Formats: sequence, structure tokens, C-alpha cells
Amino acid sequence: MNRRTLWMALVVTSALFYVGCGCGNSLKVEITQAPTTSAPLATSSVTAVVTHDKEAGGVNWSCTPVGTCGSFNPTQTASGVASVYTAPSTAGTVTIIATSVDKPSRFASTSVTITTATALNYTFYVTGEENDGAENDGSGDVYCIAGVVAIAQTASGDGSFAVVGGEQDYNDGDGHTATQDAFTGGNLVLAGDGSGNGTLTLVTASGEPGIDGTETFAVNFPNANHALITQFDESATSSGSLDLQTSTALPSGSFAFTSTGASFTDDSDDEFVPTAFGGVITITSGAVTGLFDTNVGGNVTIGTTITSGDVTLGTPDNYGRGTINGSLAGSGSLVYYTVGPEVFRVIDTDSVGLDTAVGSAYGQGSGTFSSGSIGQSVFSFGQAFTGYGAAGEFFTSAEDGAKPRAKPEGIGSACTGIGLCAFNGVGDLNELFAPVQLTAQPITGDFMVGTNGYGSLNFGDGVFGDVETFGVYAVDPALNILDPNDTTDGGGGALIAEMDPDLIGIGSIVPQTDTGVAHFNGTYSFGGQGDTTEEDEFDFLGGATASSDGTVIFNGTGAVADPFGALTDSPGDYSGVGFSGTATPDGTNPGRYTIPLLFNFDSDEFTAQTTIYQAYAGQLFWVETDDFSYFVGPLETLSGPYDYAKKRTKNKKH
Amino acid sequence: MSRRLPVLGILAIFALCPFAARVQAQAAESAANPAAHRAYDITKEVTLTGTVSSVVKQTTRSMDLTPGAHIMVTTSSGTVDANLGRFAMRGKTALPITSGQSVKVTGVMKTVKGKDVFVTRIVQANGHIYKIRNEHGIAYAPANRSTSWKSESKGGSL
Repeated sequence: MNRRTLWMALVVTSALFYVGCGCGNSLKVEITQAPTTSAPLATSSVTAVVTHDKEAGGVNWSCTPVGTCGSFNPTQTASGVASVYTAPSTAGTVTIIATSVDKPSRFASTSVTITTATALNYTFYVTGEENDGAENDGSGDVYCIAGVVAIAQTASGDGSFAVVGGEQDYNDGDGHTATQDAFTGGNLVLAGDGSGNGTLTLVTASGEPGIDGTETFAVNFPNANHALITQFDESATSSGSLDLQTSTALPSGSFAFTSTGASFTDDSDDEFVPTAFGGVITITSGAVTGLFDTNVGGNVTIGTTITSGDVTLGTPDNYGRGTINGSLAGSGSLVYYTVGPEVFRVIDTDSVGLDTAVGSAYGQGSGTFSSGSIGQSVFSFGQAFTGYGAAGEFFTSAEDGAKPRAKPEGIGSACTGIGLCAFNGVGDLNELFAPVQLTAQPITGDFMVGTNGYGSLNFGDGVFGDVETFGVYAVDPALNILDPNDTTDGGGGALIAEMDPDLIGIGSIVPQTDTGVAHFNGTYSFGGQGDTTEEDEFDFLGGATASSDGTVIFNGTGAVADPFGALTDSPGDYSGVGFSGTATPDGTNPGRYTIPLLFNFDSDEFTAQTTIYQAYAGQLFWVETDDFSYFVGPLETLSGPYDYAKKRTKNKKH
Repeated sequence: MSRRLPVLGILAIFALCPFAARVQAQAAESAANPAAHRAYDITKEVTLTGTVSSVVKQTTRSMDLTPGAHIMVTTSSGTVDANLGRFAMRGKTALPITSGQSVKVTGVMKTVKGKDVFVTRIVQANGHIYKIRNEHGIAYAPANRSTSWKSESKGGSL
């Protein structure tokens, strides 16, 4: 080879290398986000960045082996924009491929191991009161926890189900936080008696909170995918929800949200006041826009807008945890945990601002809303720190006499558009410290809902104690607020946040579709959160049978967290507590029941005069109306729950 | 959650969300016309001076008192039952108020279940001003682990 030939060979080789490596200004595809492992059918975000993509065509997503490797939504994305990948149902290895739209010869790929379903992730949250010891008379700070726990689906030798992963965020608003705190141990122990009762223990890497980092929760599963949850270790008491996580992808679409907690305010110097927030937001590739209301110690701000660029959602990690960047409802440090594509929990993790709050966001579906979106409904709301709770039912002019209650008069035949719509009905209210106790109180008022689900509801002046004004945030008519994995019934309604200067709390409005007494029958999961005038918060949950025969005989067992001695002479946590009573239907107000609910401790007992409102057979709400104590909470059909309990019982025997 | 709430113009809200106009209007109406039943109406505040005749740190069910802590204040026109709310006399942060002390209490007199109760927002005693409730009557809860009741020297801004 002469010198000329050698030089030509070098030039050609260099040129080929240059093109092949994608160096310089040629188009290049890189996958920047993808799971390395995934549970079957789990969803994850996948993102590819295309450099020197002059036509900005982005990438097409595909995978192999074709037909059994999962799916993408959307299948084409712009550079840097995530697609949601859904893993296949069977274990194995798949290859995810991002191919340039403009230059299909350029692509990037990555392998994903689809694991066998050895563990399931559950997203949870609780809020309540810490027990700060005798020097504080036990009373403590409002605190919040949210997280995801991975629980093995095969029982260990002792019959428990191991906690094999997860993480949580904790904040008591008093400068004590533990963020993205990994679980290093723990387990779920189920009673195995069909009651749905159990105990969940979580061990945190930080050693906070609980007892030196060991948190114990009482749980009750109305079905395999959902549980009521109460902290049960004397370090605190609280209530919340634990739900099967079905997506870890970045939330997208329109959502309604509420949250509640406590905050220092500028005018209070070093003291806490209760808080409530609510609004509607739209999330597009992580960018948030929307509208929200705030109530901080009675200082109400309505209709604050979130403009594009103010708030963004960070990419979630493998547990569906992501940060919320920017100022949403005034907080600079928020974290979310996904439950499913349409639900995520939000917790304030700010250790500097001295506040705490936890809440939920629920999808709004693809349709639009109007005032006619809210018809005959059951409502409940309250807040333990404020010390009040309420439940009730109302009829609106959005429906035409579906159930035997008087229709509002003089308001036209229907609610149309976003105009004011009237309601009337009946409610029970307990403002423990005002004090105001109302039972079977006739209620009237009006409300409106905008096309994006944002609205307001106003009780008439003096109609319902100090309760007057709410923000209303409508949810997907197919989404069950209490049990977001329940796709069979109980969908729709709205989240609500009270926007009054003297009452601060949140709650929900749920469609009332069945007031039949005979249908309040079967097995139920129940819970409650409340206060007494002499001591601080208590929480409880359990499973019960309801036998309907004109009246409803209620009989169950559960757990009571009473670290302040609110219900008992000896502060502590009590399991195996009996709950019983006879629910008597209100002859005037179908769907309403009164029940003297007996809490039967081994050496003590307590009777709570309680009112129940039935949304349908599978979902009811109750409120205690005594002048020395109150609680508010849900009852949910324990229909699927037996499957869960039996499955676990079988496993225990192996 | 917020120590400093964002405040945006009504015009911006109207422009971005037509139906918000009515919501805003309703809220404005509510704010402009405080309901007569309000638990705390700051426009009816008065300040009373007297001597503490007794202190009830926490009511029990057997007491014929509204829930929360109370001080009975003997004034020139009689004894006033001053309700201090649920948090004022709890734990290590309890207000240092004892019988025999001279106090000034600022609040609103209300009739609750047939009884006159002075809903106290501010207590002045021991040369200090103690804020019990905010302007909406919401009882302050002191942070238990990091702080105690915030007091100001007399003459501080109320």
C-alpha cells in the first residue's frame, strides 16, 4: 500500500467511525429513564432524549419479544417526554427500544427483567396526633406520614408477610421530618378470622418516628387491595388509608385534590393552627396548572391560580415517589406517592416552614363537569385538630326524585351549566369545642360546579352550626374516593374543603344510590377519628357484621388507639375491642340511622351516640354526636375481603 | 402549609376561569358579611379587667362548663367565666395563671347553651400578653417540643 492509498483508507475509516458512533452533530438516541426490573402489569415511566433531532420527531417506543413484552402509552413521544410502559403479565426479560422517528436507523435499547409477583406495593398515608409524653399531658403535634410499603405475597414461616421494601416521608410540623426513609424490615400479620383485622409493622432506616423507628399500625382490609389504617404503638394515633399501588408512572391529566394539617402562621408566632386546602389541577408532562383554595387558621384565600411553570412534578422513583417542585398551596416542599394512574397522595415534607399536611389527588376522567354533576349525595367532613365532624345527606335539583326525600322547592327542574343549584337534606354535626351538637338538622343551601370540576357549596346562614362555605372539587364519576381500586361501584362525587373562618377541615361528597335498610347487611370494615373534651385524639377501626331486619344489628371487633386516655382510664392501644349496637332507621330521612355504639374494652366500656348515613350498601359514614366526644369515619362493605383473609389463612398453614 | 399565602388578583382569576367569578363573588360576599352565628366576631371584642378567682385547667363531664380551660375573673360588674380554649392550660406550656392574679382578658361575650361565656382571645398577666386564639377565634396550639407559648412584653402590639 502506497502512502496515497494509506491516507485514503484512513480518511474513509475515520468517516465511517464518525458516522457510526453518532459523534459530532449527527442524531443520537439515549434512553434516560427506564426500569431495570418491573412487576408484572406494573407501569413505569420511560424517557428517551434525542440529540441533534433537527425535525424534532422524537422517538417511537417498541419492545421485544413482540406481543409478549408489554405496551406503551403513547407509543411516540418527543425528546425528553415520558411514555408510560406497562409490563407484560408474565415473568422474563424484555427489551425496550426507542427509535428515532426521523432516522429509524438510530435507536437505543435497554433490558427489563419482569419479576415474578413475589411482593405487592401498597401506598399509604395517615394523619393524627403524636403522643409527646407526660410533660405535655400527652398532647402532641399534628403529624403526617405517606409512603409505599412492599409486602411479600407468600407467608413466612411464622405466618406473617414480610415487608421487603418501601419508603416513607414523615413530618410533624415541629421541625421533625424524615424524608424518603427506607423500610428495613417489618411485616403484616393478619388475624385470619375473616374480620380483615391485622397489624402492620414498619421499621425505618432513620429510627424515626414510632418507637425508635418501629411503627406499628392496626389495619382492616375490606378487600385485598384496600385497608383502613391506624397508628397503634402509643407514640401517636392517626387514621388513613392503605391501597394497592397499580402505577408508579408520572401522574398525568386532570385531578381534584384536598389536604389538611397544621401550620404556624405569621400572626401566631410559635403556635399551630389547623389548615385545609383544595383545588383542581392539570398535569401535562409534569407541568402543573390549576386553581386552589386555602384555609390557614381561618384565613381563607379562594381561587389562587397555578400558572404554567409555577409547579412541576418530578419524575417518580421505583416506588412512585416524586417531588413537587414550586409552590403549591404555599408549600415549598411537597412529595407525592402514586396509587394508580388516577390517584396519588401528597405530603408536606417542609422541615423549615413548620407546617405539616397530607392529602390526596383524584383523577377527574376525560369529561367535563357542571352543577348537574352532583346529585343526591351523602357527605362527611371534619378535622381532629379543629375538633369537629359532620355527616349528612342531601338531595339536589340535579335529579328527579330518585329517592323519597323532598326536592328543593322554587329552584327549577334541573341544574344546568355552571349555575347555582339548590340542595336540601339533613345532617348531624359535632363542633366539640364550640360547642355545637346538631342531630337530624334540616339543611339547605346551594352549590355550583364549573366545567373543570372546581366549585363551591354554601349552607344557608346558621343552617348547620358554624358550617357554611366549602370548596368543591369534582372527581371522575368512575372513581371511588374511599377505595380507589374499587372499580365496581361508589364512583364519582367530589372532594370538599371547608373555607370558613372558624372551621377548618376536609371531606367528601359521595353519590347516594341506595338507601334500602335491607341492604345495610353483611360484613363491614369500619373506622373513625375523633376527640373528647377532656383528652386528645383517639382512632379506631375494625370489622363487623350488620344484620338487617327492620333495624340493623351491628356487631364487630377491632382496635382502638387511645394513647391519651380519651376513652379509657388507662391510656394505651387496645385490640380485640368489641363494637356493637342496633342501628335504627330514621323514618323521616331514608338513609339515616341512629345507633348507640358500644365500645367494649376488657375492663371498660364507652357508648357513643352515633348517626350513620348510607350512600349505598357498600359505603356509609358515621358521626358521633355526644357533647363530650365525637368521631367521624367510614363503613365499607367487606365483600372482597374474605378472599384476602382466606388466601392469607391458607398460606399460614403451609 | 403556607406561612405566606400567595395572593393573586381577582382579574387574573376571572380571565383564566369564567366560573370562578361566581365563586369569588360568593366568597367575597361571605367575607363582607360575617354571619351572625359566627363563633367569634372580632368587632364585638371587649377587654375586661379583674382578679382571677379560680382556674379550671381542663373541664370534666361533670362540670357545667363549656369544653376547655377556664379562669373565673372577678370584675367590678361581677364574675366572668373566661374560656381559654382546649390548649391554653395543657402540659409544660400551660399559661402561668393562678388564683389571685390581676388579669386583663380580651374577647367576645357569647351565650352558649344558655350560659354566658367570655371567649378569650388574649390574656394579659404577669407583665405579658398571651395570645390564646387568633382573630377568627381559632385556638392556638403551642408546638410541644420546640417552643412554648409565645408571650410579649406588655405594650406589645395586639
